Formats: sequence, C-alpha cells, structure tokens
Amino acid sequence: MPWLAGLALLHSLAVTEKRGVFKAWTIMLAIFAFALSLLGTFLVRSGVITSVHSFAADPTRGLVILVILGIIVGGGLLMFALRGWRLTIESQYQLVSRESFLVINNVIILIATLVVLLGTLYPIIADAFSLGQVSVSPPYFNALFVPLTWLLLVAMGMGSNIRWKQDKRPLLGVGMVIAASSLVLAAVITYFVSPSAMLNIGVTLAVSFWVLFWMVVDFKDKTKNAPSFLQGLNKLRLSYWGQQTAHIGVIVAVIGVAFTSTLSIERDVALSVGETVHVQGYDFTVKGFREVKGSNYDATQAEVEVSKDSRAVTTLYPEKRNYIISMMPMTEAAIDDSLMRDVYVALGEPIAEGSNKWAVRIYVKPLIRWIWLGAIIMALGGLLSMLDRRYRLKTSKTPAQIAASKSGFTTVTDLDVKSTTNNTTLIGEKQND
Amino acid sequence: MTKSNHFSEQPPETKGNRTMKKSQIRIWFLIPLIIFAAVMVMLYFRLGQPTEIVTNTALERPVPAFELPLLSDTSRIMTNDNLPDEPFLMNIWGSWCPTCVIEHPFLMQLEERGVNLVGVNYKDDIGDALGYLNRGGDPFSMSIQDLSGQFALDLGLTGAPETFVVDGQGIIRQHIVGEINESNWQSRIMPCLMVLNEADKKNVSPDPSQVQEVCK
Amino acid sequence: MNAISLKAHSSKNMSSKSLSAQSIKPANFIIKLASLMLACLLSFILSFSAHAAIDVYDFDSPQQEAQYRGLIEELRCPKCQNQNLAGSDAPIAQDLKQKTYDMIKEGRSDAEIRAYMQERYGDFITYKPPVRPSTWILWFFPPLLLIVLIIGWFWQSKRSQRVARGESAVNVDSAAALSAAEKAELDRLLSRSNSNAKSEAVITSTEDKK
Repeated sequence: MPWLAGLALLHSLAVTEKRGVFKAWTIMLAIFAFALSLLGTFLVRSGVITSVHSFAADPTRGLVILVILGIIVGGGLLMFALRGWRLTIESQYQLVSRESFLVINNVIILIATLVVLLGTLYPIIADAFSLGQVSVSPPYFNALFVPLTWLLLVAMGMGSNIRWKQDKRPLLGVGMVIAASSLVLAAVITYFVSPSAMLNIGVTLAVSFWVLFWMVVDFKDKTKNAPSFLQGLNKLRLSYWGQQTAHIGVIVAVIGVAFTSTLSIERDVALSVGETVHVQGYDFTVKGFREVKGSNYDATQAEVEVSKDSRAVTTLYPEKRNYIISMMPMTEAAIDDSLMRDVYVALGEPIAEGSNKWAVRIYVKPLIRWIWLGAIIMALGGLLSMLDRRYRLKTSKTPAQIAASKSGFTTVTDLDVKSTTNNTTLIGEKQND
Repeated sequence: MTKSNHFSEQPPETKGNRTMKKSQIRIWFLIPLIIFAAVMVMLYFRLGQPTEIVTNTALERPVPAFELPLLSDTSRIMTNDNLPDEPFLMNIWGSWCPTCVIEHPFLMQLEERGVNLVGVNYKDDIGDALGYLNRGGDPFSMSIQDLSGQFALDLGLTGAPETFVVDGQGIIRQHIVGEINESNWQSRIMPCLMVLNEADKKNVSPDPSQVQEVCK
Repeated sequence: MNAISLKAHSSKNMSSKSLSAQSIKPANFIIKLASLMLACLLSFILSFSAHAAIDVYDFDSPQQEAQYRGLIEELRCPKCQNQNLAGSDAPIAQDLKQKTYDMIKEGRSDAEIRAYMQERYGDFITYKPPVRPSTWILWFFPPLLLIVLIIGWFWQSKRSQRVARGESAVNVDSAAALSAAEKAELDRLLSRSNSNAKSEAVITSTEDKK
C-alpha cells in the first residue's frame, strides 16, 4: 500500500514540478503514503488480524503504535483539512492532456490501494458490523487488482506520451491503429503460447504492446525535427529516458506476473531410481540417491537429470536435510534458472517406510525472472531520472516558476497566504488539482 | 497558465459567492480525516480481541448422521438413535492428544456430578484408546470410534479436544473448542446445560432467546 | 509470538487412503507429531507462500489434477493463521486435502466440493469470499467508487471548461462587471503583456512538450 501511494505521489509530484498544479493531491498522497507504512507497522504487531506476516500479537505495543499513528497522521490530515483548500488553484487544461491522464492515474492507483486496504481490514469491518466471517485472500485481490492494473497500463500508454495542458494532435486515428495492432499481435502470440489463457495473457500482452507502440510513436514525434534519428535521440533528456525505462520495467514485470501465474506447472510424483517423468516438455530422470553429510546436518541427495527433447539441459541435486540439533527436516530445492523459465525440483519423503520411491515435486515456471528484471529496470529508470541535469543546476526554479515569472503573472507555487487569497477558485476545483 | 487576480479587494457583490465556494471545497478536504478517524476507532476496539476463527456451523443443527462402531465392542455399530435422550456433552478425544490428558480428570468429576458424557474417539489406535480409558477411568456413558475422521469433519472439527453440548432432541446447542475446565464449566457450559435440562423435563424445545443468551 | 496465540489444541494425521498403512508406535508418533507441529509453526513464521509436505496423489486425468490444485489453493486451513490447504502442514489440512482428493475422484464438481466444505466449516473456509449482500461492500465498493470518481472528474472538467468559455451561470470573479474605462485599462495592460508573452512562447512550448 505505501508503495502504491508512493507511486501516485511520484507522478503527482511530476505534475506539481512541471505545471504547479496538483498540490493538494501531492500533499494528500504524501500523508497517505506515510500513514499506510505506519498502519502496516501497527497491523503486524498488534494482533488485530491473523496473518502469516504478523510476528507478534501484543495489544499493548499495538496501542502505542495506534497512538503514534493517531497523532502523526491525524495531525497531518487535520492540517490538510484546515489549510489544504488553500492549495487549490485554478488550472486550465483540456480533456486531452497529460494532466487529465495523471488525474486518472492517481484515481486508479488510489482505488487499487483501497482494494488492498479493504481486503486487509475486512475481518475487522465484518466484526464491527456483524457481517459474518469471510476469508479475504488472493482470489479476491486478483479479481479486482488485475483489471485495475490493465486500466492503469492503458492510461500509462497514452498518458506518458500526451502533451501537457492541451494536445491537439489527431490522436484518435493513431490510437485506433495502435489498439488494433496490439490486440491482433497479442491474440496471435497467445494462441501459440497457450490458447486457453486468452484472457490473462492475451489482455496483458495487448496492453503491453499498446504501451510499447505509443512509446515508439512518441520517440518518432520527439525526434522529427532533428537532422537524423540518432541525433534526435541524443538530444532527449535523461529524465525522458528515465521515464521510458521505468515504464518498460513495469511492462516487463507485468508480463512476468501474467505468464508465471497462468502457465506455471507443478507436479508431485513418486519416483525411484531410473524412473522418468515428463513435465511441460522437460524430462526428469532420477539417477540415484546418496547420503551427504553437511557441517550441521545429514542429507539425502538425489541426482536428477533434466533434459529437453533428448538433449541434456542440466543436472539438479535436491536435498532432504535433517538438521542434527533441532531435528528439523528441511528441503533444499534445486533450481535451474534462466531468463525464460525456472525449473525447480524438491525432494519430499519416501512414499512409505523403507521404500525406494520418493515423493518429488517439480515446478516449471515460465518468465518468472522477468518479475525481478522488471523491478531492476524500474530502478534503473529512477536512477536515470535522478541524474537529469535539472536536479544539479544551482538555480532551482521549476519550469512553471520560470515561465510564470517571465510573463509577468505571480504564481501560486509559493505557499504564502497573500498570493493564495488573491486567487480565484472555482467550485470543486480540487478535483482538477 | 495559472490565472491570478491582481485586485487586492474583491467587488462586494461577489464576496458572498466566494465564501460559499470556499466552504464547499473545504468539505472535500475533511473527508480523509473523517475516514481516518473511523478506521482508528475500529482498530482501537479491535485491540485485544481474540481473532481465531471458530467454526460454529454445527450449532442449531442436529448431530450429523453417523454409523460408527462402539469403542468397547467394535462389532456393534451405533447410530444417532443410540445417543442419549437427555441433554448430554459430546467430547471428541484421542489418546495422542496432550490436552485431552489434562482435561480427563475434570471429565471424571463431571461424570460424578451426574453429567452425561458421550465420547468420540478421534483417529486413534484402538489399543491406545482402550489403554487410555483404563488408566484414567472412563467418564463416558458410551464412546464411539471415528477412525477415518469423517464424523469429525461433518462436525466442523479442527482438532481435539472439542466438546459439543447437545439438547434432549439431538440438536447441538454449544461448541467448546479446547479443554473443559472448572472456569468454562461454570461460566459457559453449566448455564446452558441447565436451560436445556429444564426444557427437556417439560418435554419441549428450549426457548431460542434463552439459548442464545446462555449457550455462548 | 504465534505460539502464544495458538490454543493448546492438537490434531492428528492418519490418512485412510495412503499408499501403505502406517503402523504407528506411540513414541515414534509423539516425535512425529511434535515435529509436525514445529514444522507447522515454522512454516507460519518463515514462509510467505509456504509449501506443505509433498503428497503424491494419482489422478485420472490432468483436468482432475488441475481441479485439485485449484481447490487446495482456494480452500483455507481452518486451524492456521491464514494459510491455504496447499501451504499448510497442519493435520486438519491433510485431512481436508485427502477429502478433496476423494471427492474429486468421485467426480464431484468444484461447486459441490466448496459447498460441502462450507456446510461444515462456514464461509471462511474458502478464500474467495462469496458474493452475497454482506460482502457487497468488498466486491462492489472499489469499482463503483472508481466509476463515480472518473465520472465526477469528467463532469467537473467539462463544467470548468464551460465556465472558462463564459457559458455557465457561475459568476467568475475576474469576469465581474467592468466599466468602459476599466475595460480600456485592461486592454492596454493585456496588449503590453502579450508582447512579453510572445517572446517566451518558444521556450514555454518546448517545456510543455516534455
């Protein structure tokens, strides 16, 4: 939840920096992000909800954290209620503009945060209003969060490439072409990968291509005035590269999630020496078992040969360890990782006392490394943005301030009372900020 | 571009308009604070409350149908008809269960006080079960053997010991998870059993509102 | 820690359909039980997506296997601190998995198995909360709020566009009635600042593009 709120905050800050608007959103999101981290701290220590993530159930400690939460966040929100309205300023931007898309971005992310919050706190709400005990877990979150992510990506595709304030380009035609080609390409790929997963994988691929194609359009647009494409690319600022890199990272991670969650295979089989099992195109053959002695454990180690289409891929050595002092049995899985899939073998127990057949668990997980890769790319994007020149210049006026001071109007980027009371505000203007 | 007003004073006729707009906007800003306050209140009241899920699906329903062997003579099969006609306690136990061992002396006391106890031996080896009863005494008017655990599943059991308080007509009225001891006997079970006994003497169904009040 | 909040309440595992009968001696048994409980505790604390001991079941078809896997991920272990059957080593979880397997072999559907479990353990046994009036807030509140907010924002921006174009009935302060003299003054000021603005137009528009 704090990550999501922070994500919305980051984008909101981009608008505030560029255009001087969205201030109320920014302040509110900053308070929410911190409030959600404190809430998380409270939830895992106080014992108000049962969770594998909670590591204490101590109401006294919980009360202390609740008080801290109340003072800090309550104080912040109180100030927001009392003074926040002064941050609202009239801003004019058309419906088709980057500001609009960022409002949509903020709203979707907030709803996604709400979904997680609601699901997490639901046992408490149900108790308070006697709604009966229900369990809320992955099926609920996935059902709501996944469509929201798709919506967010659709907005991200167009939004990151639309102009500020007003975009008069004939985008409808371009948009439809991109939409059509994304859908077709995604449908074709999904058909060859796994026809039954059309919804999950198909839609995810379609929105990913949507984002990518819009990026291509934008690159072309930004370099159209330069003597050559490469020279045009050279002129683009680091913060722009950072933005596109980070968005590519999001796409990579989302594709990884879609493929892994839909196409992972798990098989539990009983194997003895020499037996082979076939899983998802790979053949797993148990070559033998041997006893291994570690420094503080005794283990039974299996040698499993993995091959694909009769070509040897790798040999894996899963272990079943018995730690001597604690007498705890632990499984050491053997993993063969690559960019396109992870192959994972774990040893269970012998089927029966003294049998030579062992229970073996096999996983084949496609594209799981993409999840981590996506995160790394996102971080790289952040790094590139941070290195942009404008954060290293001495005179640090925002572009909005520079533009405004030059044209002779006072701006409301400084929060002093005099200038804000001079401003006109329209009813409900807060929605636009 | 941001518009701003250079006039330091507002024309009087529009002042009324502006304050109305300001207060309208302010209401939106109050919403996060109100929601936050509501959440805090909920969390505060939830502190210290027990959060385990307790299965109560068996309540207010008849004892599930069963056909299980008698523990003391496994050639005889018992069914719901063999259950006592008066209110009784159905205790699920096993010789492997440490808490049952702790609970056992109290069950012997209850038998002396005249409480009718029916035992369900849950997933136990028959030799171990009989040995357990021989060592500690047998407080049960009868014990049936649930070897597979299917009967326990039908009751919504999650482990042993658990006890069900059943009324004179075979309807389960109360569910105790964990051991029975003097404290929960006094506070929970005895009041419930008294109401059920009274109703049974008059040969009527116990009053639902009374049951709800005492059979917690 | 979790140990404190768990009740002194033990359970036991004996699957009736395991591939060979397990004859269990008491001492052996207590050790197994203790280590099972320890494993259960540790799996709560250490693992996030825990995986239970590997049970090998034989299925008649891949569809059956897929059905089994789907169900054990959806059904909750009634005794654990928020874990599904797939991820739990608790004896009651083993029993329920066995029962699920048995029912699948009998050819029952997902809905039948779910209903069977819910009848005995209540609504919380499935991790997919049912869609019924008491859970409407869970399922419908976020999407509805999304729609309301987007439409609300859309409506507001249309409205402020109308105001800006002077079509709405709302009085905008800066458009309050001006006398002729004030209008002339305003025109003069505007024409002066326009010439300032033009020279900056190039700079501001490239900034806008980024």
